[in-house]
Amino acid sequence: MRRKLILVDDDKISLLITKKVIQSIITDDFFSEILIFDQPGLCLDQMAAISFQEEKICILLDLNMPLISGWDFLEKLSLIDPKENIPVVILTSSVSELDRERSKGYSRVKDFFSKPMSEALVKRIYQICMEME
Amino acid sequence: MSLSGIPLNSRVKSLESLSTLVFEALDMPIFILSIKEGLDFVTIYSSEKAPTELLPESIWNQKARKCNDYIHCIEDLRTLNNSLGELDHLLEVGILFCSRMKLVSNRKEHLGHLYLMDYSVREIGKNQTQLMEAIRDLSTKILEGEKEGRKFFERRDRAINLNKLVLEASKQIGLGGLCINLPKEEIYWYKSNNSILNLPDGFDLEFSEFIDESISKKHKKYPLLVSLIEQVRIGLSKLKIRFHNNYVVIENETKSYFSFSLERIGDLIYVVFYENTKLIELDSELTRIESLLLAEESIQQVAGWTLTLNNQEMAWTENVRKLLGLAPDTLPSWDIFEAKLSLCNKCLPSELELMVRGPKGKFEKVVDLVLDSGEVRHLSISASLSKNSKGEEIIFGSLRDNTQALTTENELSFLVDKHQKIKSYIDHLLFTDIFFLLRLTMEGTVKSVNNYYSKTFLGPYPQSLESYHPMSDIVEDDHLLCQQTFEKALANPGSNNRVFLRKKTFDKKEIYTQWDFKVTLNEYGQPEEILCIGIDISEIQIKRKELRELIDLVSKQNTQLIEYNSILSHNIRNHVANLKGLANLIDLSKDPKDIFQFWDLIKEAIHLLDQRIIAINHLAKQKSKHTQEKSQITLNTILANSQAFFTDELQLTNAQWYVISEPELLQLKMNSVLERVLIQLISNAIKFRSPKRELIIKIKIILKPDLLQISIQDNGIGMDLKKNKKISSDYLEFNHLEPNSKGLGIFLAKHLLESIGGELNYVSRIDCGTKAILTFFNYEKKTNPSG
Repeated sequence: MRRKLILVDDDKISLLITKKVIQSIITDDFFSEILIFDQPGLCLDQMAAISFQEEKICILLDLNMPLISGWDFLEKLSLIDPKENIPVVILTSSVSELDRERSKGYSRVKDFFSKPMSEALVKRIYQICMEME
Repeated sequence: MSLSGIPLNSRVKSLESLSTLVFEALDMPIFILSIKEGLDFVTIYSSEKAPTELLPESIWNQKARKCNDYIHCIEDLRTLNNSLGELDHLLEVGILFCSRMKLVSNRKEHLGHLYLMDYSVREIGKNQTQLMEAIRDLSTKILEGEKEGRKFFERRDRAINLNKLVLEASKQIGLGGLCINLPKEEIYWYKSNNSILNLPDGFDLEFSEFIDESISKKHKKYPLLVSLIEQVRIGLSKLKIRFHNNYVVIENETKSYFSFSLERIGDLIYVVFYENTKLIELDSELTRIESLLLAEESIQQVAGWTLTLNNQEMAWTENVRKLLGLAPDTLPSWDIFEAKLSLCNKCLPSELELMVRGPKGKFEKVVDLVLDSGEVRHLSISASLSKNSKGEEIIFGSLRDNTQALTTENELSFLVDKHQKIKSYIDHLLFTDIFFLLRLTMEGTVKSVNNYYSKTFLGPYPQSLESYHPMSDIVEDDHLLCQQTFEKALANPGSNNRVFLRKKTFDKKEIYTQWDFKVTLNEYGQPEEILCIGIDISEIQIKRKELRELIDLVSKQNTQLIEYNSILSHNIRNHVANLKGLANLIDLSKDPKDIFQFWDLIKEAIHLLDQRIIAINHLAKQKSKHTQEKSQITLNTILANSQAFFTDELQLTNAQWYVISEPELLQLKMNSVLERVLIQLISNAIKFRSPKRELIIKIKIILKPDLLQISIQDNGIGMDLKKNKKISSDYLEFNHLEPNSKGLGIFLAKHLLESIGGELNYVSRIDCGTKAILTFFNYEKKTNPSG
């Protein structure tokens, strides 16, 4: 079964940083693919075609995005993946406790991290992915 | 008393003079006119004796004629020498005082003596005034009646008339009688008896009836007669000596009391009786009063004493011993009395005589007497000077125990003081302008209101409470609440039931009041009245309202701060996080190419951060600037400027621009800040235009009765408002300043609008478009809504 990591953030620099940090820590073959979306809508469109039997997907999601915010994204994702096969980890520039508390309302959200991407977060993602299996 | 008024040697020239003399002198009811003939007394008139005593006509005429000629009073019997034995005799028959007059003819021939005798029956004394009047009337009739009146002695019928008159007089004074001749078995019945004993006018008692013991059956309809006869019989059985007074009280059905006396003279027995009811009643009343006085004396602890000055002899009542704390067998003694009083403070008994003889004529002191037991007795002593019958000087004095009164007075004073304090406290409560007090009957009618209530709700010239209904000044919306609280109070007597009501004062001012309704209970635990106590809380309400507004304002500002902080956080921290991440990457990276790339990215991130900070500074300047900006321009100019601002963008996107408004509305003057708001909103409309169609921007101005609305509608991509409840514009951007700034523009627009009294709302639908509505409330009240 293939593992896929999807990064959703409107900030391209942030996307680049996140991907680079993950790649620098986790071996190349752990994730079969790391996908990057700076438009959440596009990501959701592609998610609809995913076969959960064949792929294990984990999403790293930003909250503060135009058009479709991170919260909107979570709502729409629940329509695509009602069984919550896809775990989500929030990675945001927000340091608001309100946002952190709000995120706990989504069982799909496994953890909440503030930017920038860190080694600890990479390990947490690794752990989550391992738990999925 | 008696005949003391008769002058010793006055001359009586006529019967008129004699009559006057008798009238003036007599103060006793029964008298006898008698003439001494030789050794015998001949009675010519007796107020209580039967006419059978009258002399034969011939003798009477003879005597009377002589009397009528000339009468001369010679001697007073009081000066009579007892050696003659006449006085003893008179006293024996009960005549205590009498006067003897010598009757002398005009030729100075001695005719005999006229004796005026007094039987001195004390018990009849109460009626003496009536008798005197009767005698006076009799005399007057004799003297002023017929011409021959002066000669009535000459003819027997005149004498009989006289007798009739005397009987009449007897009747008038309630005096009755009978004469019994036992040997002859004769009885003479006074006619005056009939009216006294409630008998028919012509009634005459026969001797046979008198002795017949069955009289009670025969005359049972005359109970007074029956009672009298029975009593007379009893009296007769006891009558053993010649003269015997016997007083019997007859209590009949009508509660009349009679006294009667029996007298035996020779074979004749005279019975005299008179109604004594009033006297008996008076006597019993006097007895009652006397007992009351005694009781009073005992209760009031009053004592009386006398001191005869010439011999220092003292007399006192029983209470003197008690009050002075003397032994029960102590005999009255001035020395003891004086010694006791000397022990009192402020009392010098030696001054007593001096003071009673002084200008005030009395001695009055209030003193404290310490008894042997140590008890202090407060005594009030008073005395005054008088004379006894012997002409000796006597001091009459009294003692009164004031101890109890003083204690009572102290207690009373304490109670009065306490009462005053309570009253003043209640007055303070009732008459200060602190709370309203309303008392209602259980039926809901007003019993009373306090001054403050009256002043506030009834005004300076209040109507009658009877016509006042307390619900009348409660604001109508609160009637139901008031009624419900009332019912709650009635259902739970004794409990406090609070309610807040708006009431109108007498001058129609609405005030907020807080009330407590309570049904009070009487001593038997029954509901008695409804007590309503209220206070004016208008000021508190105003303060509360102000506080609420302040809290709202603080809350709003707090929300704004959070929003602002959130925006700042997103806009600055985002770049900072990127810089931090890039720095980490440089550390991790081993490939120089990567490191160079990261450095470029760092430069870009720094540039973006710089631009963001510039944008934020600009916003801050805008925010402070608009609060001072007061310039006014027409709405038309604002719209034209806004359109001109986006000339290039509108042309580039081939956008259509419409303004829908009444022409006069375009001439309204608005605050120039509105232009900045419109620019922000139009900027968003351009940025979020739909790629599927050409942009249309419609600006519509509507004037409603109480508000002015300006809407900016586009046909862009729209947004899901359910997911964007906060107009913090998660996706709307202030593109003109910085392409990637997040929500700063809409944030500024919103607050700029609020600062000029407007409000920003959105209506949006995804893939259809968005309508931003700017509303200015209370437009009509303002000449310039945005001013």
